[in-house]
Amino acid sequence: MTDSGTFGQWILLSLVALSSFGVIFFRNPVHACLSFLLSLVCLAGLYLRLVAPFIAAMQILVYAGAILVMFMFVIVLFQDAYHNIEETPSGSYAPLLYPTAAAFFLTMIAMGRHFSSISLEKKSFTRKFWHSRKYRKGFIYRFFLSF
Amino acid sequence: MNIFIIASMLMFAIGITGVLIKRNAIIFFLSLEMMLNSANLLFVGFAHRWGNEIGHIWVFFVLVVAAAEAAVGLAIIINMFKTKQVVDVDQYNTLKG
Repeated sequence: MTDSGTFGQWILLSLVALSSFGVIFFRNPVHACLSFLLSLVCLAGLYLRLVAPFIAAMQILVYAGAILVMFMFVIVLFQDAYHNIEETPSGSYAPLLYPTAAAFFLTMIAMGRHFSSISLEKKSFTRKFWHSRKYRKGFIYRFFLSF
Repeated sequence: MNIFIIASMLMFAIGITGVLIKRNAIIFFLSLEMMLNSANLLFVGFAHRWGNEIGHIWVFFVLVVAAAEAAVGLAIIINMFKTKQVVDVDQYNTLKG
């Protein structure tokens, strides 16, 4: 993996960004959930690129299979309630929210550009890295027994 | 590696923007989940970079937290909807001092 990322990684990053924007810009909650599903699938693809297939599988199973389905159930329960929602925030602080969000967004992008210039020491890495035995040892010896 | 930091920052920024500007409680929680996902991506990216498994293990903890938070949060939303008949987070001001 190169530091600048391959073409496939940039495609996945673009899909993640577009689908994440879709989550907050779709007015219909079902469309927002489907956009979030696309974001989760693209993230699983990025995890596969990072040689973490078990994490990618858990991402699909837990997030897409459990959490997102729970969201869909709640949307079904609320299907008549969305007409009462004001899309613009109410209260006197409303004019401040959009500039604040824009400033925070730009700050995060600037921080990302700053961190991307940091060179970190790269350790040796193999395809057997994600083996479940290592997870088991990590869970037991580094976390549970440490308490 | 850099692309994963950029993707994580982008997702976190979009998530917190959604938390700030959206009034729909469902979208609010989806934005929270997106912020947790960005943390997961950064954990896995740095675990890959440094060649240890601790970042992967933290992802499991974050998954558990996300699942619990979604379950509890959606239960609260359902109960508030029974009381107020709205899913607008600005209307949920029962505990307001």
